[in-house]
Amino acid sequence: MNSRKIGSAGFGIAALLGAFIFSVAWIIAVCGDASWVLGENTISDLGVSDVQISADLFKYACIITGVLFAIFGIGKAIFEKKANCASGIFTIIAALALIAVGVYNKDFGNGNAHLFVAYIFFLFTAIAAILSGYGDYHEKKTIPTAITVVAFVVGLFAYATCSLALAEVVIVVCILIWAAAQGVKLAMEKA
Amino acid sequence: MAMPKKMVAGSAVGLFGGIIALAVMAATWDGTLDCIVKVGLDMLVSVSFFAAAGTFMKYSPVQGSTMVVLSALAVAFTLVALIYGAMSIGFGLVLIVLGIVAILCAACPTVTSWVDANRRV
Repeated sequence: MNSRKIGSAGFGIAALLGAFIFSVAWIIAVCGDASWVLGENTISDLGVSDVQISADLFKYACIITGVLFAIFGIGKAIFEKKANCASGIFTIIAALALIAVGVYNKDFGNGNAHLFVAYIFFLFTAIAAILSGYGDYHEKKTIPTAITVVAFVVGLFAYATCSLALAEVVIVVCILIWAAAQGVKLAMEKA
Repeated sequence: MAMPKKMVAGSAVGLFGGIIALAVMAATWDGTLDCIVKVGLDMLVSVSFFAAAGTFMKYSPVQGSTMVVLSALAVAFTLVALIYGAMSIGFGLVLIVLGIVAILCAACPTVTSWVDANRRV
């Protein structure tokens, strides 16, 4: 029983670490590239920045965060049930897409590969969030439900009404918050 | 079993938030149809706070776990209004804090169990 609790905690911490690493890398990359403007440039523009350190930070942040989110997704799929388990599976796919976002930047080929994996990441993360919200609601986990609802509604509104650049920023922030909250929930899962 | 005090607190917070959002909505109206989207968003915020307040009343119309969803929607719509520029940051922050208080009240096990038990009466 104790080993199961420790196992789920590790997977939860992976989500927290992933969200933290991406946030820090993003902030440092933006600070390093003065030409990046919030609302005008997408986050992916950092991947093809003229400032090499910003481009490298974006690339490796995507890859490392993708690996950590994949670990988190595996933990979610193993330790949670029903809709939350399904959410974990979609999180794994989204995480693999995130790794691909880092590997295939906007300058790769004609940019379609990057666009494709980026859309896969956002789509599968949205599905994972819906499933986790549904699962948490029925398991009466109120705070994770609330955070998922807020993050999903704000992200959906941003996608529907804002420019691509601003929407991407808002949605990524919502995803990071959602992932961190789910990571805390998984880490505190009782055996 | 007497109604928990957190229910009273939750309904008070919801009502207060709804009234503030209503006032912000009135202040947003500038007499032209150009502001209709912003007025609509503020109205949405107000309505969602009043709906959240309603779930904290005696004979709540929803089950215990739905209360937190409605409170979360109030916070979400406030953030949406802030992003769109439909309300000032000051009022937005006040409403977000009120919404978070409502979420915390709705998340209390005593509140959810009281509501679920009372609905079956």
